[in-house]
Amino acid sequence: MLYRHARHAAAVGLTLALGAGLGWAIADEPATPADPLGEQTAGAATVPAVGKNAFSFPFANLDDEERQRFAVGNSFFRRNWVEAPSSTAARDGLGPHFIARSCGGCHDQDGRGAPPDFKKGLNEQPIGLLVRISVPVKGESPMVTAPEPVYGDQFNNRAVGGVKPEGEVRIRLKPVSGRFADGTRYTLQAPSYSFDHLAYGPMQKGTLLSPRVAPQLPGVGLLDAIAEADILGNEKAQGETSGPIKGQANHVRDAWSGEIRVGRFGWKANVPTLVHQTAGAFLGDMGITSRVFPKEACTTAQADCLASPHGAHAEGPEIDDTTLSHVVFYESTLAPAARRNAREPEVLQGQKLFQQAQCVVCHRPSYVTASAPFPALSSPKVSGVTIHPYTDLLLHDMGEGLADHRPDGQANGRQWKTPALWGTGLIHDVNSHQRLMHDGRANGTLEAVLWHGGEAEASKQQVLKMSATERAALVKFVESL
Amino acid sequence: MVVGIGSLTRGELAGERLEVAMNTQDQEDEHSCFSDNTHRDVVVDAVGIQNVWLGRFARRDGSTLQGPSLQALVAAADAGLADKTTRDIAASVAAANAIQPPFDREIVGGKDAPGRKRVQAVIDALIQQSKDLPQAAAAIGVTRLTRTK
Repeated sequence: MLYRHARHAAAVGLTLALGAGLGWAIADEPATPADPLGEQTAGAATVPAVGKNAFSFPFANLDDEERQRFAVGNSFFRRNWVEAPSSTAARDGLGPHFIARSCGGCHDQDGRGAPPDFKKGLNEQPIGLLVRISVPVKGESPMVTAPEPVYGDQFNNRAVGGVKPEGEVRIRLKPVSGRFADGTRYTLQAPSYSFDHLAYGPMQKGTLLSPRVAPQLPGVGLLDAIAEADILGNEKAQGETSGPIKGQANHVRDAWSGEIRVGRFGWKANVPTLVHQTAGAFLGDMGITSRVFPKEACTTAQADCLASPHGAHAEGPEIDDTTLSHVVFYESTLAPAARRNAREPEVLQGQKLFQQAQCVVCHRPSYVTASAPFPALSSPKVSGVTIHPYTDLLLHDMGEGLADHRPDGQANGRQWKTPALWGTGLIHDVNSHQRLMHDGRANGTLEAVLWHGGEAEASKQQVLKMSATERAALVKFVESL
Repeated sequence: MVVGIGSLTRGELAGERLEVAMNTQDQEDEHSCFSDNTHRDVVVDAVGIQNVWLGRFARRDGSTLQGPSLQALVAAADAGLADKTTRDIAASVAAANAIQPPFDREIVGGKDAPGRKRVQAVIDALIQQSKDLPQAAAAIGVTRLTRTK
């Protein structure tokens, strides 16, 4: 017990160092009423932040009581959960299978995960990158999937003592080369995924894999507050416009309310609300049960997992509704940073190119938020805010190069949700990398553009025809967001 | 310096160290759960902030090391604001000194538990102090407190 205790104390020390910017941001530039460039990314909530802590500030307009809740939620987001049975009563019940010990384990500094650094060899196990798995149900067309019978719907490469990790993820890279119209060559790295050292025997033949990287958090509470009508409006507008871009909304059941809602979180828009996403990650990624996901993700074939002790003295969920609500509140009130360099001529040129290449059709710049789906889990300050996230929250066919061929809800195996672009330019400040796309395969903004295909093929072709100066301007614009 | 003492005031000491412990009422969330020294940690954290503000350090032999200070810099621009900040920081230190050991019993109980009231008084004083500091910084022309690069 003492050993475990000591490890936890070390985590406290780490938290101290990481918590440096926490809870102490103030609006130091008054919002200007006219903001044609969307420099105030999220109205009065915006924080003019750069640097290592740029993703960790609360909304600039939170009041004292809200800041207290933010601090409590932050603690449960960052600090490690502990293997049961432990003396750490409030954080008891990690695993049995897991990927990370805390939310912050993947969303480092509220930021973005990355695939392992391949330069260190291909054996390092991913943390901020998980792999969903499923199998096709026989005789169903179009394809319907079910969890893999032995390993479930997500691969967990770590486990508590006495329980076997499910195995190891292997990533192989294959270079894919191309050429811009001006003759400049580029090389992308195309990853392929497999599993090794499988602890519970072979997986079913034809198992479908879908790798997903952990995105940065600031602004998720505002995306949660966009009106469903706005997302469906995007679908309708694209449907009525000629051209290849036809986004589709995912309609999925919300675990918190039990209602069917429009999906907006996850790389397949397969989760409709922030609380569902959070409770799902607690279970799937950390092995922490909640009221809405009360059963550990052990399959009947995993006897050691089923026999492993539960946290919270096995008397209730390992995270109770109150604590979960603080974590969701925390995530919900992480502030998007103000834009940087928005008025520089190069950035303005890039913005024009972004429009001309039709990037704005899917990466829709602006919304006025409605309100949080569950007001008790958020701040009223997410409501009625003019925001500039650059997403339509719709699914799009992104072409064969990105396809995982694994259906998810109403999303087919070629579709991915348009991610928001705000914060893209700060990922390097916070996480010292700039790995983009659903599995972090793109190294930097331009590679991310070059991975686009399918409905975005015509836009990519336009980028291929741009001069080096224009490409640089386009990247500079995206990184000003 | 301002970002340092400001984030220590609000985010770390008031937030991570005290508000979280008050919320969970769990021994695991106290600053020093092994040594039971948390009541002193809170005091010396608060005094550390005060030292930086006053440019002052009390040596073990009782003598005082005094150098240039943020307080003096702010006082040259706005003496009233500097005085208020000094008073509010002193109030935080005094409130921290009123916490009674052991801290893990101090945080337990209902709304009117005397121990919880004493810890809450420290939180309230620190929050007040965290509002003075940006004003003091603004008085000497420092306005960008969220840029850590």
